[in-house]
Amino acid sequence: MDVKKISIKEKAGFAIGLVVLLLIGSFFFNYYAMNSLGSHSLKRRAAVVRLQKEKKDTIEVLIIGDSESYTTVSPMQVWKDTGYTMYVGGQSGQTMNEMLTMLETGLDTQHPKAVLIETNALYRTSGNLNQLQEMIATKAASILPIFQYHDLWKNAIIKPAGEALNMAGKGFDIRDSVKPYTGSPDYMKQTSKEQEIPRVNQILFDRIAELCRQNGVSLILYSGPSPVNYTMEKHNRLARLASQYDLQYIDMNMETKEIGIDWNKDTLDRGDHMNISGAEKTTAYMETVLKTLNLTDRRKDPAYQEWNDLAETYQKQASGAIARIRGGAQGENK
Amino acid sequence: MGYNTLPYLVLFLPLSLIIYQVSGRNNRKYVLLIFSWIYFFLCSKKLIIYLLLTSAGVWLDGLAMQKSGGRKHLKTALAVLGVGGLFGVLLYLKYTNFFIGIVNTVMAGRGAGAAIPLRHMLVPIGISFYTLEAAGYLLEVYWGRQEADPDFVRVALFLGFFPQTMEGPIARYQDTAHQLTGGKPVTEQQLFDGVTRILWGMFKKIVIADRLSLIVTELYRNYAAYNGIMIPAAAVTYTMQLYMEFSGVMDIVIGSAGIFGIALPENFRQPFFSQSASEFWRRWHISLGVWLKTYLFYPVTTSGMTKKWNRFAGKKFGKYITKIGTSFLALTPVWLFNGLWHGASWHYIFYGVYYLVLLMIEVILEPAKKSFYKKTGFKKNGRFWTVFRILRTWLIIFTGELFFRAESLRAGIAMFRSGFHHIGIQRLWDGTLLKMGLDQADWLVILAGIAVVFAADLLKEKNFDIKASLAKKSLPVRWAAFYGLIFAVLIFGAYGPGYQPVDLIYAGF
Repeated sequence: MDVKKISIKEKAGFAIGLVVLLLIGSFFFNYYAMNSLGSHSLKRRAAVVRLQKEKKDTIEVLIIGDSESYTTVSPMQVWKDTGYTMYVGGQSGQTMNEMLTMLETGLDTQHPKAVLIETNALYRTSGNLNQLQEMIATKAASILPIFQYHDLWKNAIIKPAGEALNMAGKGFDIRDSVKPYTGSPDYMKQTSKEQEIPRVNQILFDRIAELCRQNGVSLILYSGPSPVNYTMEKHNRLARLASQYDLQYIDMNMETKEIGIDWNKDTLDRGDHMNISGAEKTTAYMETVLKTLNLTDRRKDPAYQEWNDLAETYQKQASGAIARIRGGAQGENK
Repeated sequence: MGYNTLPYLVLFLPLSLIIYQVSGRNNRKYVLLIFSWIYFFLCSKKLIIYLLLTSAGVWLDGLAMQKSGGRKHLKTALAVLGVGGLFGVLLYLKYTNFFIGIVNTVMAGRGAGAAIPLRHMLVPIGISFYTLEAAGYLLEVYWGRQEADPDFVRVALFLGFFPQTMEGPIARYQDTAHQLTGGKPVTEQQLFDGVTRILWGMFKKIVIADRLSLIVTELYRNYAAYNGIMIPAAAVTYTMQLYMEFSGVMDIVIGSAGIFGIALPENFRQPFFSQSASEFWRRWHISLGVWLKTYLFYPVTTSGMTKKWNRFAGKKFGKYITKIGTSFLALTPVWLFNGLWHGASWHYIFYGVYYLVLLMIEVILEPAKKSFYKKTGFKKNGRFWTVFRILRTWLIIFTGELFFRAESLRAGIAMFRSGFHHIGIQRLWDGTLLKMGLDQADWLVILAGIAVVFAADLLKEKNFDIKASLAKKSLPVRWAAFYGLIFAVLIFGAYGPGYQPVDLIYAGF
């Protein structure tokens, strides 16, 4: 095809047509994702969609991070105990890019007073080039959602059966398995050494901190108890990071005795994550921090009646699971 | 940084193009070289030293050979030094552990004590490709078919041009070197043709090949769990994956180079329309075949040893046996080299030997074949025989790729044998294969994608120029075709949540 023979008008028409088609495609896929699909179809995008579907300006505290985030703090327990509205925008293996996207999504529809970052993701890296790839893809997807939801056309062929998007736990699910941690409970061995945070993650963290600052959001760092993921070297570096940015840093690994972690019963998978029994304790600990943030108790606000209803159901399920774990299980429960 | 990744497609390539275009004509070769070295550095970090030393060494060695004048021995010594050095480095980096493994096995067999520990070798990206290009250049200079190039930048670019770094094609100096330093501006036409070619490559790579990767990985990794029909399924799916991936990446590579106005050699010419194993290798990884033919097959064919054999056998055994012997002498190093070049493992050597045997069978049966057609009166080029030969070649290709992709030679043999047990053809549709990491929708995309690629190949085979034909169509049809290609990649591409990025297969060689 001789490009010279194509007039400027035609070329411009082609480009405009392409942009229009991309916008129409993006609108269509985004609408479909928001309104028709469950978590199976959405895969890891479900966490973002769930957050987008939360009622506008109802969340006061947003938690972001990887699986350590959604296994350590339960928004429903926080609601029940304090009346603060919290949402966990965590994803399994969340990367710093995804963390940034989650924060941007949260800030689009909510005005949180505080954002809590579970710090494990700061040490997750897939190499600079892969992270760059992810960064570009995330940016492209935020501008044109067709890049993010492009494969949802598959639902026209495969009808996913009975998969509603679970909105009940506000990003937290009850996990009642027990696989004890049998290593040393004193895994945070004193040292002045530090484990460096990958450079790209530091840059992305800087953007997150800046975004919070611009939006007047208090940023807090916390590390959930996890002998598998945390060491004193990481603690030292994270503490220094917090001090560099003048942030509060809560390392639950340093407070496992005070929190009352029982490594025989409170871990889901040999010290990697908390189960519901451990999460109940870490959530209670986190509540003491939240109480210092001047948040609002909305339990008596009729606009939040739905939260009370959800909390009631949650409480029944969580109490049963905790009782089962603490009551009987010796060794492996499930 | 694979050629199908966003950092390459939306950052590196556009940035290099912009800087190339805004630079003066005389500076453009430096821009290309700097970007090529940056690309290499991004992929291999400090191992770029190998490329730099190779570039300098080859450039100097070529010049030294040129200056050696009539001193044949000196020229030969310099050629041996250069080519030997190149293959010495390649052997050391890629094959040390393979040879240590052999020595250890032999020692263990003789009851010797401690084994030699394996070494952790870091191999620079594309060493197998640039080594062949460098050796080819030195041999051309040695044979006097190519003047040694005094321009270091051109030699360095020839060896390190970034679109070729990972997977070739393996170019010949006389074909590409001067284009690299021509400094021609990027034209609208080049941009259009290049981008179209890149899109077509992306379609093959991320719509088809990356989807097939899931199933191929499972079948070959857990090969012991599969038998019967699942083995041919493994062979076919891998062959499709490899073709879609390698030819797709070549489209991206040739498209990228084409934007700069550099015509790289084609690596594929509708290989699945081949009617014999030898024809397949003239259509598949063409640049490797050309290299082997030019720098191994012909030199061996015209060597003193082959001439001696021809004289001796011609008198003693006649034309037929002489031809068989000559073919064996020339093809053996070619196919052993081909196998070993792909990797330091016995299954690659087996792959080479497999094709050596097949090609020898072709040579041996040639007179019988001719006689068959003559006696039966069958038309050699009749539709039935053509289809039969194509299908027979497919069988040969699929079997070869089964061993090529196997985790080891032992695994390959085990897979081949288990293919004859418990055939269970229903596993093709009862969910065993269809639900192996892919869903119905994925299979639909794969089959439709393969059909589209094969339709395009068929049209090319029939000398139908798709681009020229499209150019004659009305505007809406042309737009629809391009939008169709763009959105096919965007919507049906196996990328994003739920898909794992798949590394380039040939970059591993």
